[in-house]
Amino acid sequence: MGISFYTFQSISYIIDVYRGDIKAERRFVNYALFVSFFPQLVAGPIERSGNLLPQLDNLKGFSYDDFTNGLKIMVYGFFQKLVLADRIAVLVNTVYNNSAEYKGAPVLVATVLFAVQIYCDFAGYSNIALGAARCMGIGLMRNFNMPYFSLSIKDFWRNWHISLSTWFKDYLFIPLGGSRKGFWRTNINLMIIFAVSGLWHGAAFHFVAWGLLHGAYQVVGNITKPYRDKGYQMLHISQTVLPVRIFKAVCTFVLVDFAWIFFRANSFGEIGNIIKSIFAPSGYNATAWDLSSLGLNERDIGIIIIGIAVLFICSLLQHRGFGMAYINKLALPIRWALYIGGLFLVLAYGYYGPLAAPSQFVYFQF
Amino acid sequence: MKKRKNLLKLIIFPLLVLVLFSPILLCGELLHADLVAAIQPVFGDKFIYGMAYTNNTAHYKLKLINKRKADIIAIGNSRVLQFNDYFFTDKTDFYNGGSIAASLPACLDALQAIEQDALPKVVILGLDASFFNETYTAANHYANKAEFLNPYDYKTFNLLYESLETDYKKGKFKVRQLLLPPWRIGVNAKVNGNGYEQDGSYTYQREYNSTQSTKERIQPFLTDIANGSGRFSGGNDLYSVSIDKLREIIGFCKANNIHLIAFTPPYANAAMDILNSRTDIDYIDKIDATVRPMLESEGFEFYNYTSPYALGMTDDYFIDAFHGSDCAYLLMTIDMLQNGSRLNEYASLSELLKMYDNRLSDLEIKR
Repeated sequence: MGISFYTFQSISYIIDVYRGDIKAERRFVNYALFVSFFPQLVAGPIERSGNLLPQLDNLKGFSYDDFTNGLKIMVYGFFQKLVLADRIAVLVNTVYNNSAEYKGAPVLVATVLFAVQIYCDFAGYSNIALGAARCMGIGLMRNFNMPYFSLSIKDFWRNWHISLSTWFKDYLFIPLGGSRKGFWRTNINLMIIFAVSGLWHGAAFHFVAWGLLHGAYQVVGNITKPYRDKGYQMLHISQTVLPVRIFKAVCTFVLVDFAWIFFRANSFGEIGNIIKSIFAPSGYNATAWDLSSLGLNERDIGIIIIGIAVLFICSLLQHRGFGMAYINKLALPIRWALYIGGLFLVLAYGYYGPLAAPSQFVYFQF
Repeated sequence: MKKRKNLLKLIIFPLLVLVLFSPILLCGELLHADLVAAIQPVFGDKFIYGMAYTNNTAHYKLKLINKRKADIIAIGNSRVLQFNDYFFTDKTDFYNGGSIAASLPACLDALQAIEQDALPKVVILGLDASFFNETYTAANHYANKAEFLNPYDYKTFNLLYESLETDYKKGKFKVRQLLLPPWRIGVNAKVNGNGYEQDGSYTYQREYNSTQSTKERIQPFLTDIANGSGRFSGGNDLYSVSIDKLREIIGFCKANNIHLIAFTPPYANAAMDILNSRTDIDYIDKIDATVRPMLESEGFEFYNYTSPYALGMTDDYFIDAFHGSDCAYLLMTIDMLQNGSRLNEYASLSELLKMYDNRLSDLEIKR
């Protein structure tokens, strides 16, 4: 359980000490706590010794701000996990575990929703971990930064599973030469780290293929970048205007979501069939869009739609700088109404309990 | 100063959350049956336990049977629930375990699950006709499984909220009704006043206070009875598995020096008339002929109250087509006493006759 996270954290510590970036921790208890700090032990973030060890060394006492901010982050994490990820998982599992039975719309919807599921599942866990640590006065590194608002694949990996991406950058990409050894060597290095990243997610071909696909996206992106920039110039279109940014974000999401098919498929052989079934024209008649046969009732589907809207609005507000600091400045009644509303959303609309068969956190398997 | 303010906020915020969520927290549906069984003595005679969204009756009743260690217990399905402790001279002598079981295999499971020191001296066993119906009993997974006694049925906040939201939209209750009084636990108890009392019997406050006519009350199940649906399915012979289980129950009672009093509960007159007109339910008539000798040969008692006409009951004595009222069960108890039942050791015939004469209506007895 969490062995890959534990291992990566330990490796980073050894390398940091070897490189002389940090001093070796002489207190066994502190080291043991660093590698087994319970909030992030099973699914990250993969903490760096330079961040966590000094905090463990100088533990603060109880702080009202840390405690309450930690709880707020946790509630948001539970919203992502219980209201959205676990509910969406029912629909996605129904389709992907019986992929031969579905064609067209159900597969397309499941594929799009899987992007939301895996984000809410993993970011939800990270937020719960961050919040729990914050309650105790420990600041963990941020693991997600609105990844589906990314404007390119490169950008996506700066915002998705940040602790893993930076780990690979610091301990694999840069030692391989990074981008200092020419254009082609940079691209080869990229393919190597994405292949390893795929393998890290699971010892199966479909995970490696997922990693290689992301590597290929970046290589193609690097090769075509001068031509794309030239194209924008020739058409006198600024790349910073909102429509272009939205276009780029949508393109990035489509590419990322396409790659999620490789990730979610139960085997390498299944990938082709799933892609084919998405493009089956017969699967898009009027009845194909009826999702009620996919394991969820109308109420659940309504909760998913509203939940995604809430998630989108929250992300957008955060993107625009209306994050925790902004909320903390609001008048007390408004703040408390928000907190109670959030808590109620999780408790009343969360997908848990004896009849819900809640799913494990996806990243617990890695 | 800031520290004090923060401390105050840490206290007030959870309290505010509790207040805002109180309808859900106080309705009682989140309480586990074990806890209810433990705390109910605090509420005295006003206590009513009526869950609307959870069925954990079997577990709850077993807990109470083991806890109260009464001399007399009634067991069976909901058709034994109107035997009350005030039928008996010493109220502590009796506990009603009705609804602990919906079949004879489950009745046997329930008896065997009673702790040795809580075994009663007398068992009143309600032999619902459906227990002997092969079509219904054999198909009823829930009724026959020993797991029926497991305590796993419970609601979580989200599932309860979903049920409440649905019923609230249908106008079944007002939010303030979920709050008080504290001695009514469960939405059915809080809103309708229906549920189990301290002695395990069931009170139908909603029906007692209803303006419905007798005909309206009896009507709902008559179509099912006429169509032979579910528990009213047809059948020519008694289900052999049930007979075997009854034999095991008799053996269990003999081995544990328990006196067994079995009876067949009555149908309302309108229901009985329909049953009499059907030609596919010969098994009901065969119950008496088969079961009576099995019991009487062992010195136990058997009373056939299937037909309400036997004791002169009318539809007014019924909660619905197949559930008799407190008065109906009082009449049956009086009949048992008049026929020399072992219950004479625990109840006074003259007191029960007086109670019957002073009844509030044909449904309700003055307590």
